[in-house]
Amino acid sequence: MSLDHIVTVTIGGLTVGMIYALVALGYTMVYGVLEFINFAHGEVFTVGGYVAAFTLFALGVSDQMSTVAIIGSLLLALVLSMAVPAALGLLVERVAYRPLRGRSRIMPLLSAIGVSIVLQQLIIIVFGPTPITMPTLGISSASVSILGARIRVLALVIITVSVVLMAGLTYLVKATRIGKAMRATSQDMEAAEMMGIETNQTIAFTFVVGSALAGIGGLLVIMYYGSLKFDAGFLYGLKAFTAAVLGGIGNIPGAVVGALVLGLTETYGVSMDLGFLAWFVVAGLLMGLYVQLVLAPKKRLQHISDDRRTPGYERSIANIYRLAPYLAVRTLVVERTDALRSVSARHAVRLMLGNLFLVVTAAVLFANGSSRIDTRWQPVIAFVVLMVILMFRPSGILGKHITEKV
Amino acid sequence: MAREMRLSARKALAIMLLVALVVASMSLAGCKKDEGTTVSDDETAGKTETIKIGVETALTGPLPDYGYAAQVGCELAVEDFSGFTIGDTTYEIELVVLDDKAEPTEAAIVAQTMVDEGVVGVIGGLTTGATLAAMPIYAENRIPQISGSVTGPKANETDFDTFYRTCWNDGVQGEALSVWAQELGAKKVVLMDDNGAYAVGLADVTENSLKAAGVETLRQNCQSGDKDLSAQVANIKEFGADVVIFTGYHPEAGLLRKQMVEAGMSDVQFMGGDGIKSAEFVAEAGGNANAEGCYATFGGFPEAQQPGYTAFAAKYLEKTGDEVGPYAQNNYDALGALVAAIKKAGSTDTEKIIEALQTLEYEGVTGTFTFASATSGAVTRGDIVVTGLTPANVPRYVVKDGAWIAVE
Repeated sequence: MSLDHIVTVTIGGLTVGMIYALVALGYTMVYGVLEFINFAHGEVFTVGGYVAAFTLFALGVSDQMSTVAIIGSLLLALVLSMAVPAALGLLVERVAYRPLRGRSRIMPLLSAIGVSIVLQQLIIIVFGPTPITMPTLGISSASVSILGARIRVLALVIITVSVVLMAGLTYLVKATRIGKAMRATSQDMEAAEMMGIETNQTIAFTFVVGSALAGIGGLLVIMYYGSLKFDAGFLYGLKAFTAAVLGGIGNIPGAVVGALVLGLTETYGVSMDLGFLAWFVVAGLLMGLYVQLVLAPKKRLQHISDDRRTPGYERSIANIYRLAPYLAVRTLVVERTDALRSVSARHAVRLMLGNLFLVVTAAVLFANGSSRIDTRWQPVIAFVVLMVILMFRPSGILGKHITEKV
Repeated sequence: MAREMRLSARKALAIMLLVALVVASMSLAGCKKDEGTTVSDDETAGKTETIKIGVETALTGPLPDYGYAAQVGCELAVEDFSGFTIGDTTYEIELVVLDDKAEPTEAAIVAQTMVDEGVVGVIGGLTTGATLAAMPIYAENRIPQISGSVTGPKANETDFDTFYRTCWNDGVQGEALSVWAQELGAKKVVLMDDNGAYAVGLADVTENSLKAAGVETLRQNCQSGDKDLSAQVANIKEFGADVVIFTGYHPEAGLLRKQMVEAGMSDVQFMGGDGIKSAEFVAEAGGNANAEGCYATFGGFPEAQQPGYTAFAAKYLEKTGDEVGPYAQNNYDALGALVAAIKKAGSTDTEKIIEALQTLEYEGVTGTFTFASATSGAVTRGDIVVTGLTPANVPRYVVKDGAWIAVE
């Protein structure tokens, strides 16, 4: 496993992940405010890409033009590929979702699927069913050398632009007046309304921001890959939605983390040798040991009243988690402490079995260190990673435990 | 009152329509039955007999356009070949067209119906999967079967002597790609498919052929519709391939070529089957510069090289008002070859027709061909063997100045 291979694959995974993130943000913001999944979001992304490519074609961009003209037309494409999807998002919200607000949850969902079909057909009607392609530009294939790996400048641009946009979005939500209104609406729409917040406007604004981000995603995709088909939004939407759920739906940093995990899983899973992947399992093992030996005993002790928390009792709990049964039983019997031990013993055994599994997995991976997973397994691996993460964190990586609203 | 009246009037109309429909369908069915039993005697030119030839196609299901083209091909052949004579007997051909919906279960029923109808031979089926289900039934009842469109390499693994085809087996292209890659001096070849049945089959044949020749290979794949192939490109780079063969279709092929060039691998040869030989490929690969020098083979002689194509296209246009549909000329040739076999056998006994097919040389629209008598390499028993065609001279194309041109 050469260093340049690792760098290439990592940058590839980050690029894919950042594009997923730009789309995933729209899903998660709308879910955060309305608790409904806007299935038409993937198509808004496609429209962004088509508008960008169409603008560049209409302007006749080519390498023969002066640098200023090229940058100017790219900026115009950027503005249009934000403005058109934003307007589209606003329109869709007004026409297809707002009239159904307050009805049963399933209705806006069906409406969203309908809108997605309509938008896809409209793209076919306006632009035709063949994929739209980008004019060839020097910058879209320019590359630099990083640690011996050949990296496309556009990949770095995508990562940088995405980071800047996400920082801006965080600022918008955390520190501005409209952001405060968004957070209030998301927390409790009725109460926010009573506090004088224009919830309808706030929701419309959320759609505008999410759609504009997806539009930029579409622009970046068509610049990076050179072509886009009318149904591309379906797959990107699906993956971005998965990323949003993985990170904890409704959580903005979560969407980004989830998207990066998904992007890196997709590329690492099939293009890294097993020896490299084994180190991830080792990292998981270290975390598992930390949980078993430090975190779990500490948490267990928190539920014990102060008078029973003698040093001997603490030692016995720690011994159970260390799976030193003789010591544990002796201290428990001598000190005559309570029945918690059976519960914690079972918990301890479960944790240990989990860690043993990781040890075996790591050993198997190291033993076949130089081989690689067949690319045919790529979707399976992505799914398994997803399920494992959701098993341990049911509400997503950064998702909070949901409590019922009273 | 008025409303009730209107309702009852509407009801009466509905009943009338229903009755009309039933009567019409009954009379139509009746017509068909009459047609089926007609055996006429013509005193002036000796005896006239009607023989039935089955057409197993898929007029509904996922490929109606292919199914329709196959049917038209057969009908045109009947117009041209019906009324041939053996001795003093003139034979009129009657087609029995049945729809297998491209489904294996339907195909088995269709095959049984063909047997019951007493056909002397069957043209079809249309798709590999459905045909596999029908083949054993034809074989058991000793009915010769000639398909014009089943290209799956494994179609005749069971080695039936009743199965023949007039379209090229995908395996021929696989062998051709392998031979070509070796001519280019390939030492390390990456084969990549899109997980579809066609692409996987073609890649399997090519990979086996390359391995047998001692070339080191690596297999990669993607999903149809994938955009990012950077993981696969990184693997190809690490493997150090000198030739990459993509056996799927042009959208993914274009992206793969583009991403390879951008990763600095423009000097790696890029090849593919007929799935990438499309003008779209050049645009999807990011323009002329990226696509320049990419290679493709093709699973059939180009139309310009098919001796009877121009005349066939004119007849097809006259009959349907359309351009020639996929595999129509292959189906035309299939029926033509069956008639030629009957003439050669001098009898409508199916056993004798099967015997005649094995040694038949037929000059059809697509060229002069025979049928393979045994399975060897990628060619299975019953495959079309075009005179003068070897894996080394399967049509080859290269991208030059943004267009596919034939390699001399």
